[in-house]
Order: sequence, then structure tokens, then C-alpha cells
Amino acid sequence: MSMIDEQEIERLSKLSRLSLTSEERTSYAPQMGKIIDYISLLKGVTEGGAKKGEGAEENSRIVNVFREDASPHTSEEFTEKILAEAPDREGNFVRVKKIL
Amino acid sequence: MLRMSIDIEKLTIQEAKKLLSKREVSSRELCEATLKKIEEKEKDIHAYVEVFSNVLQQADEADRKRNDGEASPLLGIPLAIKDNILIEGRVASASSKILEKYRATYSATAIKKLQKAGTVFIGRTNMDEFAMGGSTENSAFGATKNPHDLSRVPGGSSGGSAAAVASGEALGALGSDTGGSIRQPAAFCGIVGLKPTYGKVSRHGLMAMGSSLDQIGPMTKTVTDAELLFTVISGNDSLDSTSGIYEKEIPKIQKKKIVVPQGIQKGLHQDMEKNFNESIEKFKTLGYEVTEKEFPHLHLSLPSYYVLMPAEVSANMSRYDGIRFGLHVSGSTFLEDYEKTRH
Repeated sequence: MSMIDEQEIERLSKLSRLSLTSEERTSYAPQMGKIIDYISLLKGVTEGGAKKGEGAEENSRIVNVFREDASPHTSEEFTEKILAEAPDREGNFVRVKKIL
Repeated sequence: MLRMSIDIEKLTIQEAKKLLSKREVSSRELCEATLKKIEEKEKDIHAYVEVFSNVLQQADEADRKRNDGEASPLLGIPLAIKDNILIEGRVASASSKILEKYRATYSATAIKKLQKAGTVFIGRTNMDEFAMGGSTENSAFGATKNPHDLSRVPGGSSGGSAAAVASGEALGALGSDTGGSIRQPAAFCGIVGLKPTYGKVSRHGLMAMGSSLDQIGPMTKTVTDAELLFTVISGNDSLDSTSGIYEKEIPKIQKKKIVVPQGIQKGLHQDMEKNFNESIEKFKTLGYEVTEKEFPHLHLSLPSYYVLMPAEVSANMSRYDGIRFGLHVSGSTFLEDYEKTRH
């Protein structure tokens, strides 16, 4: 089994801004290892899988969708509605704690 | 109550449309029968996280429109909506505590299209939290049960929508599907679920999970009903640039062909295998050409999904941070606000 230790879980939880209890860390480490093992089934098949041009017929039907960078909605049309959902605000700003 | 002896559990949207247009039933009667079913069954099934309080007002409005000569395609049809599809002014929680009190500031395109078509919204259906799960047990508001057998799961993540349709608590429903979340609960509850081709239905207003995979789709009692809903909700939308990515339509094929992946029945319960093989025979007698084909990479599709999906989920879920909307739990620092909110 892939070894994912609790330090790794701790590091990942910090990166994703989650606080985990030590019980959660202990229980997630082997689970995470199993998931990594499962996706490791893909190892070795990355080479020589799909040939270039395979599925080209399908892809030829797909186009990029662009629009003009123009005709925005009226200024402040949605401001109040959206800010009303913010937990804390000051005028038209969302207020947060000091970052730096 | 219904004037005629209609079994709301069996009634299809197609039949309801006919009865409505012949004035043999009103939308109010359909909605009252639906609400009665909810009253009878909901305490056992728990398909909904919220049944709207204005269902009958919506029904009366639809009946009034019909009397005024309006004939929009789904006028007065009661539908259930999965809790991750936004209806302006309504709570949209994705069955998560972090959005328990969040009110949608706009409506999904699919919702706007249904409203234009005249539907009545019954309520928000239960789901696995943020559409991650396959049993509807992972909802912050309690599990949904399978209407055919309360000891079993309805599947998921659109298990509430599937259970609502299967139990007569709605004539049809919307679900969302990333890696099976419409099709699998539809199968578990014995109804029809369609995951439309990527790009056919706008996802504007659907809470994003895996953006290269997500689609909104219909969950109904029959294939015809699924087509009726699909026709209404599909189409290009300037608010979702992945809708309308197909330059040409797939050419209409005269002779319809069904390909069965070799060995797909492996591991099936014998009853299901029998049913599966009978369906193949049925297609053959209907004139379809059925062939078996080897899918050598099929076993890699799920591990591939578990690379792509979580990567997209982690990008999409970072917005639930207690800063701009939804729950906020204050900590002593900015970083702690995030951690406490999410815990």
C-alpha cells in the first residue's frame, strides 16, 4: 500500500485550510493510501494509450466559444443582492480579518 | 383532490399534459395529490430537504394562465429540484451545513427555462453533500430511503430526486450528474434518468463539482417524459460557454445501433443480468442492431475519473470559505476563520 503518513495529511490539510483532529488524521491516512493505490492502476498505461488523431472525428465537431468583451450588465445591478449574502461587510466591501 | 381516479404514483408527465389540456384535471389538483403523497410518505422516505410553502399558489397561477389561453409546454406540471440547482430567493444548500442558510441570488438557466415552460416547483430534494456520494446517506440533513424498500438506499447523489419521482412525490425532477449521480439513483429507484451529452444543458446556476463532467438532466418515469424535460432545459446559453461547443449536430442515423461492451454483465446480480439480457432482446425486436464490442480501456475509466474529479472538486470547493457567502465561524485569525467555518 502507498504510504501516506499523518505528517503528509497534516501538510495537505494546511494547504486546503482544514483543521483536522488527531483522530481524523489517523483515520484519513490509510484511506488516502488506498485511494492512491487505486488510481495507481493507471501507472504504465499512460504510454501507448490513445493514438494521436484518435477521436478526431468527435473533436472536429467541438469549437471554442468566444464572446465580445462588451455589453456588461449595468453597474451595481447585482451588488446589493450578492453582498447581502456576505457574513460581514463594510459598505460595498466584504470585511475580513487582517491578512498580513 | 383529483376528480378522476388518477394514480399520481403512476401518472406520467405526458399523460398529465393531456389531462391538463383537456381540462380534465387542474394543476391545483395535481399539486394537491402530490402534496398528499408527500404527507403520507415523506416521513419514511425523506426525499426533500424543503417542500415549498407556495406550491398551491404556483398551481393556481398556472391554472389561471391556462384559462387565459396560455399553453406553455409544461404548464402546471409539479417538479422537484435537486438542492444544488439555484432558484432565486430560495435556499440552495447542496445538503451541506455550510450553505444551510444561503439564499440563491439568481436562478439557474435550467430553472428559468422550466419557469418559462410553466412548471410548478414542489421543493428542494436531498442529495449527498455537494453531490459527492452514491447513496444519499451523506447529506447533512439525514439520509433518503428507497421508496421500493425502505431498508435500501435510493442511490445518489440525486437520490432525493429519484425517490421523489418513484414515490409519486413529484411528476418529474431535475438532478445533476458528474460520475453517475443521475443515472445510478434512477436505476436504483426504477425510473428513467438522463445525463445529457456534455454541452447540451447549461450549467449556469448549478453548483460546480467537476466542471469538465457536470451536467443537469431529467429524472422521470418514462423516456418520453425525460425527452419532454430535456427539450425544455437544453440549448445554448451565453452564461455557460461550454454549452454550444458542438459546431455540427450528430447526423440522424436511420438504422439505430446499440453497442454492448464485452463483459459488462460481469458481477451483476442474476436478476439484473436476466433483465439486462431481456432488454437487449427487446431492442433487437424493436429493430435495433445490437453488437458486442471490446472496450479494452474500460477498467481504467474509474481510476481516471478519480484523478480528474477530485482535482476539479478541490478547485471548485475552495469558494466555500465563510468569506463571501454561507456560514461563517469566527476564529482568532483570518486563517482560523477558514478552518473553523469548514470544520
